[in-house]
Order: sequence, then structure tokens, then C-alpha cells
Amino acid sequence: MLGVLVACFAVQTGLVYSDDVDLQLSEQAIEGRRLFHEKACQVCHQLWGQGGFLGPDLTNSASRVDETRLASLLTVGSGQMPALHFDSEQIAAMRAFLEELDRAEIGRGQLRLGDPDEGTSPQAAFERAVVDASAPRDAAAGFESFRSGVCSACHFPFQVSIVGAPDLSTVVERLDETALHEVLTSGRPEKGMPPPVPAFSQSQRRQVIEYFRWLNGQREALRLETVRRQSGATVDWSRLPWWEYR
Amino acid sequence: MNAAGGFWRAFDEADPVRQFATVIFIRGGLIAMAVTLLGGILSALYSVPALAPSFQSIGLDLRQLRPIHTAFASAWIFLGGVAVVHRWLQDHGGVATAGDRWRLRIQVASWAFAGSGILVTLAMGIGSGREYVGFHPIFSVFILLGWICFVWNFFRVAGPDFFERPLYLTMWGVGMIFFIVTFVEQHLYLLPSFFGNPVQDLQVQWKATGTLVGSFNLFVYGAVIYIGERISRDPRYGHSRLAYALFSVGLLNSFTNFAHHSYHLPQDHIVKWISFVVSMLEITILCRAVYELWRLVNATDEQAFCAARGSFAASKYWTVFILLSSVLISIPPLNAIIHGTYVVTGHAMGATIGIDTMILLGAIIWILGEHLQAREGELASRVLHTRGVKATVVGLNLGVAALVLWLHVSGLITGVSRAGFSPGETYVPPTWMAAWNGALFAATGVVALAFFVLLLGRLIPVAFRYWWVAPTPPPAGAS
Repeated sequence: MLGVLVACFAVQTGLVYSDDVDLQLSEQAIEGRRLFHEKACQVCHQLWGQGGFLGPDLTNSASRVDETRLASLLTVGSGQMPALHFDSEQIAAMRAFLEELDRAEIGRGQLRLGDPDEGTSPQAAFERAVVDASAPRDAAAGFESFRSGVCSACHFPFQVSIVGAPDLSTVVERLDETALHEVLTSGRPEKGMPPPVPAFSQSQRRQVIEYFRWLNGQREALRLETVRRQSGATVDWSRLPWWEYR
Repeated sequence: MNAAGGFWRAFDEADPVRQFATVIFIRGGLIAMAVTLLGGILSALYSVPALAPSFQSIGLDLRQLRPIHTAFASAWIFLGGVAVVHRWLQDHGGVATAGDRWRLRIQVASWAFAGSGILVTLAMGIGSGREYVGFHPIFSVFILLGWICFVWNFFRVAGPDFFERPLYLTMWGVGMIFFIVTFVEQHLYLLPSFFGNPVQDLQVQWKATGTLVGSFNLFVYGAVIYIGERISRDPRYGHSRLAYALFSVGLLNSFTNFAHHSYHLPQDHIVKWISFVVSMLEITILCRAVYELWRLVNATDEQAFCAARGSFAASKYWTVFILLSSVLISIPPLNAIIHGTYVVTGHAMGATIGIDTMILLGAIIWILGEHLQAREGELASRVLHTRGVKATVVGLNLGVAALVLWLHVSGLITGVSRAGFSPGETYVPPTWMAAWNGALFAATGVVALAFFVLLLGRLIPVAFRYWWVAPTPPPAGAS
């Protein structure tokens, strides 16, 4: 009996080892992977669902995190993510590693059944609502800086985010202009907010503050529009996969 | 050989070296559990966004805390199991030979070095960055060295007529060999060809980790049969055909069911189908296994509360829950929803605390009771079976059950709401759940921790009361 069981183990082991998926990383990506483990990223982040749950799954992060944001996260950190102080070569290596993982043919890290053409997250619904609301020029430019920078990674619309970052639609009610300039320059390290990387210019800071003011004035209308758009999003459960997610 | 057909020796009738071995591994296990709890509660506090900056300001973050928690949780389970095996060696090993003693010294020294080295280096942020074996691979050499000495000492006694012996010896023996194979597999990432291919590395990692869990399950289930046999004074179960059948299916499951963690990886589908079919077969065995465990526990004296029995009894409810959860998450579409959520954490935590820890605590309470009885007289062990201990065992189980239940609910909500997002979007949980998650994890975690600390407060003083075991000479005629 034990012999039969050992044979089963051998067969299953053989199948796993012989199943050599063609994903040999480049030298630069291997260096990125080495850094990934050296810095113990897996403690908080997952790859194909394996790892900790404090941070997001990184399997398909390359296509949603631009270079600026990645550089900021890997140098000064963000909230619960500690500052790793990566230099430019290390950032490039990590970028290469994440890009080589994010390939459609090897499957996704998480199941997603929302409309692939139009985003279904509250963030996406909010961003579309802002774009359609045709904000004044300075506020619109401030929104672009906010969205393309690292801010929207932690600050979510109309809610305190999972990492404790506050709702910024009411920030102008809590902080005056000087304080806002200070936060947009130096962050709030005592509360886990790093300084923006790359730093905002004087005019960008002014535009972002202008965006906060406009957002505060439009708060209720934008909140309702965000809810309306999000509730209209459909989930196609018929695409629930048996094995891999594509 | 006693009247019931078993061969049992009272704790203090055994060779003092073997008594020492049992007690030293219980001490190691309890220390590992204390470190696990410390790492666990600090990790939980780090997860509260407002507290993370304070941790970072003193140079601590999750990269140090979580590997400490997971590495020492595994160490507790292995050391607890090893202590029970050494208790069996007290019964059957006779007087330890010079070789036995040397191997025991190497085992204790190498594991003590590895344990303290792992704690210090992980606290300094030095590790492998891998799941479960998050420590620097140099320590793996010492772990393996100690393990080989342990296996040698075990098979020197259990090896002759191995297949004629009770089932729990087969379980322990297979678990020991299995550990070596899977532990080595977990280090294949050190080979450049594996490291350069993350998908294959991940396949092997899931396989090795899944089967490593299988190996410590063999220790734990072997322990419950052995201690159950000792408590009930009924050696028949360990030789029954049914027990062997259950063992076979359990082992087959250990060999194959890891693949429910890699259903979504681009992998040969036959690996996944084998896993799925075996997992579904398991449900038929589940009912019978639970019935047998129940019978074994109920065969013991129910007149007075016995903490060991109470812990075993708790594990049967956990076994039902965890096996049911295991069967459900092995169904691919359900697996697709919950994979990478807190359901997996809840499942692992339920299995390691609800089943493994409850069984090992029961076994250790029983062994420590014997140890105390031998030193202080018949009534001394009552200190481990008071109403206070009963309340602690019940409270611990309820606290852990609340935590595990919330992890399952939270994970399921995450899985369903996450599926509604589009590809390329960063998942953001519903606001209410993000708020409830922190509060419920903290509340249930603190309750479970408080009961764990209370229980350790009872067990540690007993385990450490006598620094060295009394050098009682073995009885004449001991082999």
C-alpha cells in the first residue's frame, strides 16, 4: 500500500517538474526578482495569489502602475509600505521583473470579471465622473497631476482608504493653503504619507490645491454620479473560469 | 506488554536521557509558540494603518514580523510532534546508547542554534524573502542536520518490524522522510534555473509547501492516535484496517491536493484534475474520520475534566470545519473566487490552531501531567486540569473560531467584490468592510492571544520547573 502511495507521489512530482512553462526571465528581471526576495516584498504582496495580503497582488501590476509611481513607491514607500531607497538601476530591474510577469498568455494573478473595456472600480467611476464634469482648467490640470502621481494609490474618493489615507474631497475644510503646500511638498511622515516623488513644482501644487477646492464644491454631485456609474457596472459571472484566469 | 496488549511505561520509569529529550522538545515547542504569538500580535498591530509609522520609526515592519510568526508557528508544530515521538521512545527505546545520546546532543544543539539564529537574523531583516522558509538558507542546513539525527534515533528503535507496528509509527516514519524530501524541494530556488523561471518555481513551491504541511499533519495525527491510545488504554485502533485506510487517503491527499493553490497557474491540467478528484474523494472519508476521532476521544474517562481530552475534543469540531472548507475550496470556480484572500489565511489558521495546536496542546498537557506526577506525586498533575484551564481551553477555541470565521467571511466578500473589478484595476474593498476588518481582526485576535497567554502561563512554569530530569535508573529488564 505504501508503495502505491509512493508511486502516486512520484507521478505527481514528475508531472510538476516536467511541466516547464516558458517563462525564463532576462538577466535584468532576474536581478529584479532577487531584489523582490531580498527586500521580502512577498511578505505583503502576492504573485499569483501567493504571499501576504497587506498590499496588492503584483502579478499584473506593470500594466497599471506607471514608471513615476513605481519609482516613488520603491524609494520613499507609502503608508504601511516602508521606504526601500532603491536607486535607478534597482528600479529598472524591478520594472523589468514585473513587466515580464505581466503577460496575458501566462494568466492573471486575480480573477476579474468586470467589463474589460470600461473600468468598474469606484476609482474608475469617480475618474470618469470628474472628466465628464469639465472642471476649470487649473483644477483639471491639478486632477491630472493627482491621478498620474502617486497620490491616487492611497487616497480613494469619498472614503478613508484601506491604508488609512483620508478622503481628500474635504481636505480644504481641514487644512489652510499654507498647510496644503507643506503637505504636498514634504508629505506627512508621522502619519505614513511620504513626500511626492517626483516632487510637485510650485504651479503643480497650486493646481492640485485648486482641484481640491473644486472637488469640495462638487462633492455631493460627484459622489452621486460615482455611485450611479458604479452601480451600472456589470459582472459577467458566466466567465467564471474552471482553471486559469485569462 | 500490559494486559490490554500495549507496551507503555510511566514517565519516570524510562531512561533519564529519554525523559530529558521529551521535556526539552516540549520546552522548545512552548518557546516557539510564545515567539509565534509575539510575532503574530505585532504583525496584526502593524496592519493597523495608524500604527505602521510608529513601527517604522523604530526600524520594525512586516518584513521582519511576519516571517518570524510563520517560521516559529511551523517550529511549534514540529517540536510538539517531535516531543510526542520522544515520549514514545521513552516507552520503547530502552536505555539510550552512546550514539543515541550524541545524535540527541547534535539535534538539540543544531536546532537551538538555528532557532535563535533565525530569530536574530529575521529581526535584523536578513532572510530569504520566501513563504514559510523565510529565514536565511544557511539555517536550513542546521535544521536538516538535527532532523537527520532525529530520524536516525527514531528508526534505530522503530525500524525493526516497522510495518508490524501501530499505525502512528508508520505515520511518523513517513512524515519524517516526507519532511526531508519536501524541505529540500523548498530550497530548489537556490538553483539558478528555478529562480529564473518564476512560474515553475511557484509550482514547485506550492507543491513543496503543501506536502510539507502534509508531513506535519502526519506527526499530529500520529500523536493523537498514540496519546489517545495511552489515555483510553485501548491499543486496537492503531492496528485497525480502517485506520490504515484513512491514513492512505490522507497521505494521498497530502501528495496531491497542494494543486488547489495553483489551479490558476499555467500548469499541466492533469496535475489539477488529480488534485480535484482526490479532494472530492476525501469527503467520503471525512465523515468516517470524524466518527473515529470522536469514538477515540469518548472512550476516555468523562467523569472529571481532563485538559488533554478537552483539547482533543475541540480538535474534532475543527477537523469537520477545516475538511469541509478544504473540500469547498478545491472546487475550481469557488477556488477562483477565494484564492488570494483571507479565506486561505483562515483555512491555514484553522488547521494549524484548531487541529494541530489543539491536538499537540492536549498531548503536551498529558505528558507534562505525567512528568509532574513523577516528581511531585499523584495529585500534582491536577494543576493542569482545573476549571480555570477548562475555561481557558474553551475561551481559546471560541476566540480562534471567531477569528477564523471572520477571516472566511471577509475573504469571501473580498473574492466576490474583487471579481467585479475590471482587469488592470487595483482592488479596493468596500468601505464598511475595510473598517470592520481592522476592528474584528484586532478584537478576535486579542481575545485568542489572551487565552493563549493564559494557557502558556500554566504550561511554561510546569515545563521549566525542573531544569534537569531526575536521573531515575531504568527498571531492570528494560530493553
